[in-house]
Amino acid sequence: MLDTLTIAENIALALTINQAPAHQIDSRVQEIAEILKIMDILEKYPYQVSSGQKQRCACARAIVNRPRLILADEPTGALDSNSAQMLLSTLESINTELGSTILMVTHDAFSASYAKRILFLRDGKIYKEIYKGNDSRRIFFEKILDVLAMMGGDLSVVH
Amino acid sequence: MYTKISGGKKEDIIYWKLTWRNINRSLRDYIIYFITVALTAALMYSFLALGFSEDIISLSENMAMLTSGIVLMSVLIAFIASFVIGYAIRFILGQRKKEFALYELMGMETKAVCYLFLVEHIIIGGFAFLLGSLAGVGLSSVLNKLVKNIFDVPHSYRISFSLKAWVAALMYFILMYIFGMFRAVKIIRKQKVVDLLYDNLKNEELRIKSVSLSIFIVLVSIATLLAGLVLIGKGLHIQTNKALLYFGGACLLLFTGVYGVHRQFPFLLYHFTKQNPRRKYKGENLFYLGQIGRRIQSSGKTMAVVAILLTVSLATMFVGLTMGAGYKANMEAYYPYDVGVAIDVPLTKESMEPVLSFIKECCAVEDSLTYYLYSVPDAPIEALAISDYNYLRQLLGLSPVLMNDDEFLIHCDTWGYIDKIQEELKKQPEITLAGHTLTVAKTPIMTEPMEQHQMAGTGGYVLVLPDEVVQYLSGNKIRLAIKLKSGGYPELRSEIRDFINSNRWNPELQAGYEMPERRAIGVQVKAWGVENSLTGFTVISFCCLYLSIIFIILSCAVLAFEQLTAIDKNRKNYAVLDRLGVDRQKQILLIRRELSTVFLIPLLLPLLFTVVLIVGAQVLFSTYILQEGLILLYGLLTILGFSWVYFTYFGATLFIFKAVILNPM
Repeated sequence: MLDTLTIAENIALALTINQAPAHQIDSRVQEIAEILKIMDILEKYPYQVSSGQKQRCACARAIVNRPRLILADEPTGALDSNSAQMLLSTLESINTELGSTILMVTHDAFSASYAKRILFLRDGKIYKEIYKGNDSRRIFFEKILDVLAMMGGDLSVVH
Repeated sequence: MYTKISGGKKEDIIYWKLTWRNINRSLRDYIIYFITVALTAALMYSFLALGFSEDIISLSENMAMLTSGIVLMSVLIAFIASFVIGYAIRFILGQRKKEFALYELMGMETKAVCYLFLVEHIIIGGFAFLLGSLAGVGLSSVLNKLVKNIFDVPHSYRISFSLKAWVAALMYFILMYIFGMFRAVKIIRKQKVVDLLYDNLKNEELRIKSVSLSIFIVLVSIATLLAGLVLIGKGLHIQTNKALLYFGGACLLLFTGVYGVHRQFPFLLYHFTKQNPRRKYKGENLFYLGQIGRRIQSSGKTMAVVAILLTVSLATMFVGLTMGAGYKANMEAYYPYDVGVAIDVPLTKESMEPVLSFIKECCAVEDSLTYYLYSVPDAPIEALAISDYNYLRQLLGLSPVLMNDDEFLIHCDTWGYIDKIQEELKKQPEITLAGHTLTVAKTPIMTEPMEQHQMAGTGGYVLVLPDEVVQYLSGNKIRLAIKLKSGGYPELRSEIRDFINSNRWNPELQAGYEMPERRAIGVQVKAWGVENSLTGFTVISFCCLYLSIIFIILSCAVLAFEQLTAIDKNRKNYAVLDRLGVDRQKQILLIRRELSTVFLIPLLLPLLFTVVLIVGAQVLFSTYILQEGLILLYGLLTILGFSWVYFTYFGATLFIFKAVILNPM
């Protein structure tokens, strides 16, 4: 995030660089801010908000352009559980509603349970691949934990 | 495990190694600082060497003014430069606080860190001073040659070193450094390690200003500027010392106005641009506005002070160059006669014979004329007889003027009065004097330079009448104009004055006249006048050039430091832009745009003010300067000279800025 711009401007920057029409920018920023529940901090500067809020803002900036592919490197790493859940739901809805593919790297089984396909990496090689299919998230989460137990606890997931 | 670095010979060697390595590693931070110090040293040495040069001082009796002028200017320059050096040292300190904190964490004593920083600066400053002095030796020879060219003295280019100038420049430098270092050492000694470590992580505080208050301040500042210009205009029409009061007040108002406008206007421009979504959201404008907004917030005061410095520099350079050149251009017109004696007393013509004889003892006289300036009843003009007028023209090598006995003409070599005289002649083409009605001659106004403030009139113009008419008027003022065979010498002026004021000369009044209360006596000698004008030209032009060039260099250095202070934060910001997909070419354009804005904001009013000054001088004074287009020429030279220094600094800053920002982190 740029300390020279407010949160709203930071999000808008991604739109202006992609040459979004000026009249649409404010509404799109509002829209994404509402989804990520960061409406109340839009006029603040990055150094005036917590690191969790900053992460959500960075996420807002990444998805505001409705990209076809989102590369998310430990997106929930600095977030509390509530914020993490909110962010993951957002990513899920972006995937389902906007059709964007999300490639997420995580060490967190709960975050991984939001994925449809998981590649487990071990020592730089694919160890196992699982699909969610028609399973509920709770069952898929348990499957992830099983794989983790087999791997010895640590995991890297590529969705 | 660490080794405690304190005291002892071994440690001293470590300090030296550390210092040398630090200098090498921080070259990027030091380059602008080094160039500025070296340039200041070069200019200071070369001008002081010029001021102390025996060759130059012996060129004229008043040339010692150049020494006093340059020494005085050097004091002022050293004072202002000490602030800039202090600023530069604080900039470098800001870049390296973390490093010093690490030294302290490793066990180095605060005293030792101060010592390290001090030694580094002594090495850099000393090296810059030596290099500057070396360049100054070459530059002083160029200046020497320039002055000798002005005086038409033959000169061959030769390098000479002035120890006196070098010692004086060194003294000024030591004083500047003591002042500059004082604060930096205080910061290292007083600040805690943790503050030094995390100081560059602090965010610049963004203060929200009241827009209406800003608009109010800008309006008041513009009014202040206009009031300053009005005061200058009024001061120009005052002939007494009161004018200085007006000019002083005007400067104060102008500086306040420039400061006020430069402090608030960029903020308003930024604010209103941000209010307009079309502009704000166009291309990379949002990023650019963020960068500029931060500069306005954190460096607003500095930029406003730089604007004042630039105003002073540009005005000094223009006024100095134009006044000096104007002096030179008007020299021939101010002193057209080899010798001229003007006594505002109704003396007999015979009284002037002893004066002429005295001059003949001193120099070979080719021709001379003793004549009167006559009073015209109820009119603010004096008259000359046509025969005297033509004789004067003959002395000056001009062709005589033919005029009928019932005609008159006006001689006016002051261009500013000509239009008004023409208007008056149209209204009143006939005059009646002593029962004679005269009409205006075919060529009503003659304009050749004849010196009309003492010799051919006293108000800038004179009425030329037929001899028949003049004999009825009172010849209240007597004049003696002389043409010498060899042109005379400067000291002749004081010799004639001494003779006139001595008991050796006993003039007589014309019959029926009384001795006036005020007896003004004026003596002009062309040789003295030319030498004096050239001295004036040299002193004014060189002192003003010296002051203005150094002020421009210091202002540019401050702007460069301002921009480089935030270079690491900027690198981070441009890295974000890079990640958002902005290509390298666009980043380069943005860097150029950002830097241009920072360098151009403080130039707004100084440039506008200089243009107003050039146009105003052209309108008001061009008629008084005999060389056509001189004001515009020197106005252009001022802007070109200024631009050369300014854009060199801009280029250097842009080069460093681009190199650092576009390098991957």
